Amino acid sequence: MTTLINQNPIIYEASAGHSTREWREEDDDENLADTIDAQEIFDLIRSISDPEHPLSLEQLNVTQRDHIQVSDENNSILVEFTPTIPHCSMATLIGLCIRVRLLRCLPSRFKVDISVRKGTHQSEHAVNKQLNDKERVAAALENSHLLEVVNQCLATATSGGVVANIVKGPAIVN
Amino acid sequence: MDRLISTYILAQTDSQEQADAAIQDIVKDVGINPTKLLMLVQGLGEYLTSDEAFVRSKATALLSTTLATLDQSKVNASAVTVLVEFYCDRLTDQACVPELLKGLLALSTFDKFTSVDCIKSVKAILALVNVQTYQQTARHYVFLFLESVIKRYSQNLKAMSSDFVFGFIQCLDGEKDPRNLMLAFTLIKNIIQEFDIAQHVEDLFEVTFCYFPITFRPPPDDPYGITSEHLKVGLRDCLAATPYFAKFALPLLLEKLSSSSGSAKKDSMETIAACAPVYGSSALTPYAEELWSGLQNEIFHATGDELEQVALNTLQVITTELSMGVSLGGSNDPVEKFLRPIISDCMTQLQKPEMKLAKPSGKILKACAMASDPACTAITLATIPTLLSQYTSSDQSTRKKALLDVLLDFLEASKVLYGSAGKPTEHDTDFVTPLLTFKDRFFELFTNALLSSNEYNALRLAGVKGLHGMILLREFLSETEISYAIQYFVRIVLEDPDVELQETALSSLSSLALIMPGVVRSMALPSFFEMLPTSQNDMDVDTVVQKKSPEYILNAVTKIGAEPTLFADVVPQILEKLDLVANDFSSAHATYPIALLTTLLVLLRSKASQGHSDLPQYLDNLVPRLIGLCVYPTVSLDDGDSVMKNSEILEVVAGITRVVMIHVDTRAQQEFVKAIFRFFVSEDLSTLAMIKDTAQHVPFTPLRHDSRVSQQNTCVLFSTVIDGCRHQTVLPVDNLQQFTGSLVDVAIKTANVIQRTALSEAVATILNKYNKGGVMESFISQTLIPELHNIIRQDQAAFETREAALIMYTWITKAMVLSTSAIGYDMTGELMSIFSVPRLGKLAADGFNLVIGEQRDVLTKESFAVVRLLYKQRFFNHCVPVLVKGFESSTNEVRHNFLIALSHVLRNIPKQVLLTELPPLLPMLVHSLSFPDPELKASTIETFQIITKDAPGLMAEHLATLTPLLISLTSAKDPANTMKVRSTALKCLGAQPKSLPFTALRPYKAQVLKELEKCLDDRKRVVRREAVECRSQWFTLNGSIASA
Repeated sequence: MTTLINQNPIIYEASAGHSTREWREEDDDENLADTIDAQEIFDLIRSISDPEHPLSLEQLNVTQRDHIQVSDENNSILVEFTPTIPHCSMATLIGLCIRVRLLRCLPSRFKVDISVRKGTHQSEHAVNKQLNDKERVAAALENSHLLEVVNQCLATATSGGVVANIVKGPAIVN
Repeated sequence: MDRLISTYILAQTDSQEQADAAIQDIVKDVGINPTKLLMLVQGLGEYLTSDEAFVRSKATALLSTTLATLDQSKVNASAVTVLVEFYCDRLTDQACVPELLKGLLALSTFDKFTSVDCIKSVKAILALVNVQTYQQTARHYVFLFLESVIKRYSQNLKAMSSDFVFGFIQCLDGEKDPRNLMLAFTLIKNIIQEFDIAQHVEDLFEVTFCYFPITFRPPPDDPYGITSEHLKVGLRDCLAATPYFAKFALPLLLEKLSSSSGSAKKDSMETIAACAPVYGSSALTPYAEELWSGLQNEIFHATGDELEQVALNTLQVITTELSMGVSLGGSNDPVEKFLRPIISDCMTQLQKPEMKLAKPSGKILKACAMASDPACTAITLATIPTLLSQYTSSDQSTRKKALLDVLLDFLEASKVLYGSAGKPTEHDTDFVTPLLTFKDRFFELFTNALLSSNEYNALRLAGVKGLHGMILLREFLSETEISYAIQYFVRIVLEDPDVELQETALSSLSSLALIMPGVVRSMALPSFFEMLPTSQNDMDVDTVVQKKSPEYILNAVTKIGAEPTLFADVVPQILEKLDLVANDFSSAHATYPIALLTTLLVLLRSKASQGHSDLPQYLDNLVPRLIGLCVYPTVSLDDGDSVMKNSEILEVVAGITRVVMIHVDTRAQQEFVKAIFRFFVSEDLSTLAMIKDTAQHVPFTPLRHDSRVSQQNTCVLFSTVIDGCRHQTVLPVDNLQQFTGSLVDVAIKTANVIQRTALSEAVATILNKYNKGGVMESFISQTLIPELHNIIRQDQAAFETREAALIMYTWITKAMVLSTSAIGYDMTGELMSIFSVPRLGKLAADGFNLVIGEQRDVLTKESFAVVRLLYKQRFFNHCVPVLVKGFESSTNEVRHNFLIALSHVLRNIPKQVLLTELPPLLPMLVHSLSFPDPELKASTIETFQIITKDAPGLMAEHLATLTPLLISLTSAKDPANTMKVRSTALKCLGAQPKSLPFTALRPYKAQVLKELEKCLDDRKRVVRREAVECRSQWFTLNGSIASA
């Protein structure tokens, strides 16, 4: 058995795969625009798998909604993530997964910054630099092995963001 | 005979038919007259001794085939003995052995095949035939032969002592064919159980275990249907057949456990679990440590849930087995010895309970504790005190929560082992759970966790689950404690803001309601009803500190109140509230009464689906009260504003009436229908509404087109009663046709849509249900159809009247189509001809949805409507060709209606029918996508999505046309592409990579990904989500995944 970098990480509660966003009446209005907000970004990345454990980034507390800042009108997004341990060598890979996920899922008008949350990693500066260097990200994705690993981590990301149905009164069930 | 023999023998290999014919004639011949068997043997004489091996074998084959097909009762004992002797002697002739074995197999099934014959032939085969040098069929005969003789003469074979076992081992050694192995495994098991194997244990083990682990993979389209699972189970049964195998098997199984193949690991664990009870505690004890170290790896570093579960199960079985071991001097009790390292390893992990390995540790302790009373006691005493003190000394809520999770595991284990409160008799009542010692601490801990209002929610959730788990333990909590716990749950449901906590507490109450209705009835229900408002003033948020809405509380009641004694409490409570509301509320405040009534409806439906027998009583106790409440305000002199006139309320009351109605017998129905007709038809207010003093009221005339609108609306209740009638229940009118005709009249004349729909439903139900032997058909075709037809086609008539006639016409069509009456198809044709009538065309097209779609509350099988098998297919086959033809010969405007009708039909047809009939319809469907009708578009795209999933080949053929079309439908620029259309189109595109072959999609990959980028910036979030989903499907589309 290969040794894991972090054998026994702490597990946090995650809301079973669905978004904590509640349905609002405006959601059904054809003409009202729903702005892209932190919750939407969080729903996109929360269920990405950790490269080491069969757990989601949300369960490991790597991503949190409060660590995402979005400005729809200024086309800017900042995602900060927290590696499980300060010497985690997977930090860059996790960041890359988030980067690729957002590249694929967001309109190109956004400028997305991804960084390690301040003070949570030994070499946070180096990791941040790598993650926000377009050319290095592109080069990394040329590597087919790496791309495969990324795709694997992203395979679980698809179920995130479905809005939960909250019962308001006695409902007639068919 | 000789002629036939020579024809057979001389037949060349290429004239196999000739040989077959000859063989059949011979068999027939001998079958009729068994003395000819002798002639056959004589006739074959020269061939059987021929110099040519081929001829000898062929001659033997003829004899063996004859024996195998012959009616054996006609062969006498001496003939059998002679034949056996003859066959055995010839076994030295290798060329003939396969055919000889076939003959011996046939002989072994003969009644006159004696034990002497048996021993003789078995000895001959074991001595003379080197089984593994022959082909599969010959070996198969040997195993079948052995199976047959073991079944008949095992006593005599035992006398052969170990020679038989030894001979069998020789036969088996080296066998590889799965069909033979399946047989052999059964034989091994039989031999182990019936014969003395003492001298051959190791040999027998070796020829058996060499197949472990089974790696067989059946070839594609395997005709024999033997799976590797069959072989695994067969082999496992052999290994678990005798404790003598233990000392050989255990070291090898442990070795395989560390194998790298998941399937071998799983097989090893399952085999260990199967063997443990047979091998027994003394055999397992020496390996206890190794077993734990092997299994813990599978749990702590599990690669999948399934393997983990198997490992846990194996651990449990071993613990159970070891618990039965005799203890030598107490401290060295085998189970305690086994558990010691387990407990210590798990407790080490549990020092950091919030870490990943804590959860599996809890599962391990649970599995072991579930195994036996001694194990559970040992583990409980060794761990619980430590866990409890850890809890007390910890101030981190994540840590506390993780510790409670472990305690929950113990509660679960205890429930499995010592029985649950729901079904107390299953378990040995002498044992009590060791948790009882810690009961007070547990209760305190879980209660505190649950009540700590500012805490981490997951911790509080564990508190709810813990109390629930404790209530479920048999003879654990006292009644007072249970009452407390239930009150805590009620408080959470009624006061707590957290949704997840509410739901858990509620579902706990809901399951307890079934097990201990008495406590829930006294401790929970009253609190819920206390919270419900009793007047319109209560509804104002300002006046009362209202914590939860009445809708919320009523929803909770629907989860608890179905159990008969509880429901009996719910009904009067709700009726009481309704009485207050009916007088006090204005029609603008309908939500609350609707929720009250819906609660009854939901509960009644859930009772119906659970098969409760207390439903019928509510036809007398509940339904008339509700109908009365709805009718009073409609006959009051001032016709003032009242909430009970609300049409939604009427609908819920109709629903309640219907559920109760369809669950009572004909007699009760008949009584009730009579009353309803006196009320609605004879307009006699004294019956149901109990109104005696008519002077205080206006007359009740609901079935007229010119009565009060509020009275007309109550027709919903009338038609629901008719819909619920059984076939034998008679409608109390003199002339049913005349009565039906009068309903049709009112429905057309009325301006009230509610009344019109209700009466149309009533008419359709009557015509469908009371048409036994076609008694209604001439009335329909000669009276109703012409009448309606006239109105529909009358250009001068008021549009509303024509519309009403068309609706009635559609309902009647439905009634006839359901019963597959020929009139139904004629009427369908007429509906299609209306497609071209201005203004009515679209309505007629949408009518197809009514005709073929299933309505929830009317004309259903459960309400005794005549619904013929396959009526949908018949409808489909009848009208699709007509629709296609009509489409082709119409102008663009009218075509639209044909497409709408088609889409209704396609949406309602069973999938199998849809897929077989679809190909010719595809061009029409593609056409639908270019009409600016969002509903039509969305419905058509949904059909394409079904095709993608279930007929990918068909979809692949049309990708060139469809892909660009679907892409264009995702664009928000075109206002006809509503968000429903856009997201459905994205769903359809997103379904392609999963179903279609990579080669078909490759040309479109770049285009799809590029074009859909725009959808990522769609103004609606639902569309964006589908776009993300769809694109990630296409991103991962590559050859390797598609082929996997």
